[in-house]
Amino acid sequence: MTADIHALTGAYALDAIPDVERAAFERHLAECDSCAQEVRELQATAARLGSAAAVPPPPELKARVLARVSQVRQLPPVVLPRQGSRSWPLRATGFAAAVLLVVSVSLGVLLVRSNSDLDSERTQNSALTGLLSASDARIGSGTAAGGTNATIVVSRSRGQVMVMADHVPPAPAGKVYQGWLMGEGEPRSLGLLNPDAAGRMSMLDSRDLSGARQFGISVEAAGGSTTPSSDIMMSMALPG
Amino acid sequence: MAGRRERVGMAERVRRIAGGAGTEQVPPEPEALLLLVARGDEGAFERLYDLVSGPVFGLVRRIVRDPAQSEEVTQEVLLELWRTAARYSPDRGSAMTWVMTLAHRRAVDRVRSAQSATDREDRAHRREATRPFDEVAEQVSTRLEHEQVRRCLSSLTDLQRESVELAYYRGLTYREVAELLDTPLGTIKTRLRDGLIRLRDCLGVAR
Repeated sequence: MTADIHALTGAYALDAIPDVERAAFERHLAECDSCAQEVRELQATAARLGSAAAVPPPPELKARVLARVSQVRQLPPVVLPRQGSRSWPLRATGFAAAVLLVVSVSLGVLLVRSNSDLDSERTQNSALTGLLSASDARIGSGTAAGGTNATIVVSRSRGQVMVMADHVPPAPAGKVYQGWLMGEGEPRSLGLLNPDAAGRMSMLDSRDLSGARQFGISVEAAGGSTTPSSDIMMSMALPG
Repeated sequence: MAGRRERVGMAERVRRIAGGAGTEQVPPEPEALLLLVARGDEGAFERLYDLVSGPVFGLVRRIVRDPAQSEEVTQEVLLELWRTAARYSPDRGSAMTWVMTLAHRRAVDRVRSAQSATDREDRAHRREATRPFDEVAEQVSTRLEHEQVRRCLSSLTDLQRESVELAYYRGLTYREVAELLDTPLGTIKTRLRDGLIRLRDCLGVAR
């Protein structure tokens, strides 16, 4: 780990890192015990700053929270996944979800990018079918703070990634959304993403996915950028 | 030394609250309460609420500022504790650190997403039901904690302190802090780290 990245332990413990850098830093944390230890200490320190700001909430909040508790299902503990037959039903569910998404996307606009000519609808469909039927196709989804949902399907063997998002707010005036793959090396642009009137946007891209671990959408000045700005709308781990 | 005394005071307070419902065998720590909460114990959750709602609400309000939104975020954080109690792992830190890390994250998410949504609609204005807070007298233990943190913050250099406070209490990214203080990015990153390290040592945070 370089000295520069190590200096991010403070910013990380204070949640002062933009999401894209956060994801990269968390991967480093997984590999650097001394950094993880320092982060734990600095998070405990930051928590003390938080506790020092304590103010009792309005009394009626307690009743509201306790009433809600009886309606909220608790997550089970994390159990390490087992290999083998158990993984199949999960994947099948994933594909069922993907197929539903494909149907809904076909009502919107699917932008397909590739080095070859993929303009025709038939070619788009075959690209989709190929991706979804790939033996190593993986699906992941996430929700950003503003309510934007994104689903990603990745096949590393085919070198294809499909991104679908809905509830996307229009980009601010004079700005555009741009997709990125991040991981080893510099972030790589997936090009601009334009939500339609219903707030949906999607794309399918064929490219080298080696080293890519994270997908993100940033807000950039019109025309896009060569590196992501700090204005990240959402980011999520690349499945698979 | 001061840190040690404070920790004892906190433990006693926890014992009082945790033991309050007549279940004497319950170990008096937030970690133990979380364990019970993870098993669906609503009584333990109520005791955990009493323990953490003040710190959570105070921090969230400091960052979010809008009273109605601060309550919303506080409620989200507390329900998240209920929902994810089984995911808490003591080897990653104390329960209080876990709670406050989650609270800070949620508050920051709220202000950052509000920033990016300003073009669409101004949420702050939509929820203009600004209800005044009942400023209840702070608990003695809170005041001690506050005093100690204030003293330790004042031992930092101006740039360390300003950077840490802007990042933590206002929810700014280090890039925004650098912009605001007109200081190079690398310097801010370093000041956030060495500022926190100095605070850690001053507060006697367990190594």
